[in-house]
Amino acid sequence: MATDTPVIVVDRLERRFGQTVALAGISFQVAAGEIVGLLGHNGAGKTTTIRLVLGLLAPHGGTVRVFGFEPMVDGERIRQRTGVVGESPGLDERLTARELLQVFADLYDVPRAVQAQRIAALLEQFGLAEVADRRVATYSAGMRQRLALARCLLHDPELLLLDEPTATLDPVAAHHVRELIAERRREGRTILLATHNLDEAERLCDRVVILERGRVLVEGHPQELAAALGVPAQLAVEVEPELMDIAIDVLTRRNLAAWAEPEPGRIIVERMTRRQVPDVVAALVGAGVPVYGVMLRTPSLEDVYLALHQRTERR
Amino acid sequence: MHWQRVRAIVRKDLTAVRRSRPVLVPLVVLPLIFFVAMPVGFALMGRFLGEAPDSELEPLIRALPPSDRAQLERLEPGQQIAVVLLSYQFAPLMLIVPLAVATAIAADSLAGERERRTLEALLATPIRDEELFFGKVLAAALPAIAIGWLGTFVEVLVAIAVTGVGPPLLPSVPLLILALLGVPGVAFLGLGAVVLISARVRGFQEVMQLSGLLAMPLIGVMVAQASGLFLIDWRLALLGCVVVWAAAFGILRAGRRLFQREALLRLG
Repeated sequence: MATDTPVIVVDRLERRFGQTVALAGISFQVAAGEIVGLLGHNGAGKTTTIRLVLGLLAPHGGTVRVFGFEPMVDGERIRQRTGVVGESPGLDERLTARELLQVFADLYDVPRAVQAQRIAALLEQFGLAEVADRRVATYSAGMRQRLALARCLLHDPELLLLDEPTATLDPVAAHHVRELIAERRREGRTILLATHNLDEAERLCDRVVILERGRVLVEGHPQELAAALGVPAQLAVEVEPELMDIAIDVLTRRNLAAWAEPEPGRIIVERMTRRQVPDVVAALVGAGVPVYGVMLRTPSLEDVYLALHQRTERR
Repeated sequence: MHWQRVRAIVRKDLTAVRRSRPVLVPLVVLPLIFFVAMPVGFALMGRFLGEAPDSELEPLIRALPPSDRAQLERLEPGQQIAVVLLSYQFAPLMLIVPLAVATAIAADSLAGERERRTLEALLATPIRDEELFFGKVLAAALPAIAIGWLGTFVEVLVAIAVTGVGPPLLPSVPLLILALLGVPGVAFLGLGAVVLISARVRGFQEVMQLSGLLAMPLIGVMVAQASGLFLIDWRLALLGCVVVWAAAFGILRAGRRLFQREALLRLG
């Protein structure tokens, strides 16, 4: 789906707030049709990056180009082609969903002739049609975030900037919002998703850019990152519960870090590669321990993230 | 200027204000006090004190323009008191209403918007800073001016009905000048001040408290008149309006310069 044409080009971007350095020269690109996750702790620089991309803040160094335009010069043109959802949905609770969408349709220059039809379609699509004439104050957090997503699609934008869109939601509402984001991805929209939810990033993103204290630690596909960073996998081995101590002893003697999981008969072997799996099974069987199952757990984005975090902490 | 965007901001803010009790209550209560209760009260006061005119009122009557004084002297003592109080002494006080309406709506629309964390969603749209500023100004100024003009009209009708006195004493020329020129002037002055205050202060309540100080000069004028320092005639009314308009223009210009996306976000 993604093409090579970059929609966002961030080059050595810097931004300070007083003495605090929010961004210390970050660089990354987002290609058309790509969904890129901007990962990091609170204060890593995710929201600042989004605000700079949108032209709400001026950079103190470096450049940003969105659709080839500079946000501080052509912010209006960029915002006309971009939909934004923040961590807080930013909805005036005194308005109804329909009123709110009408206001934003006008702000996004949606022609009056198509407004009613488009608003009705979005309300339907986001499951808000039946409550469209109720004030937003009566909505749940999940409904509000869905309304915020509907609002950001009013003008059919090519680029979506989503800043922690599920941070304040319960698991069910967050799941629903993630599905809605995945649908937008299938539509071929370009998405920059700022999140500290690693599972969300892993499920939704083509690539991730990991930020720490205003710097890019690493960027790439989660699996590529794991390999590049040498983040090891885990091997889960299922053995006869009564023989677990013997199994752990056999593996320890082979200099492998093995420990028992709470589940009876399950052992975890740390720092494993795919090639080592047959040796482990052979050693256990050779020692008279029946092996009922093995599963190599590839490193998750969380593993990559934690490994990176530990490295930066050690520095 | 995209008028569709400006109208959207005005529509949004006015719909929100209509449904906000903390903002709406003063918008209803103040006009009732100043435009209905006050004229009725002064007329009744005139009737009570009519048989024995307050000697403190006599310097005020003497300060009236000769033509007005001649007409006033033909009235009953009670009517004289009501006319002096309504058309002259307390005339500047009715400007408190458009001032309060404009500041309440502007505070809700600027500081309130930031407090509710709804401002960034607006800033993320293609709307230009000047369109957002103009929309916010219109959303606060239009109801303030409408309430000010309509309220004065009602006040005059009520006063005429209760006192039995009509033009040119009720409404007097200074009252008309203050209504026609002063009402929009103080409305713009008030919301200009709110824009400036909102650029430095975060919360709706803080902005409201600080902007409340704007009423002090109007109360000062009223006290100065009561103490016999001067009485507003048409020249003073006109001069006052010119000063208010000049101040409003200056403050709004300064406010517009401060009204930048980044500055608005910094306080958010």
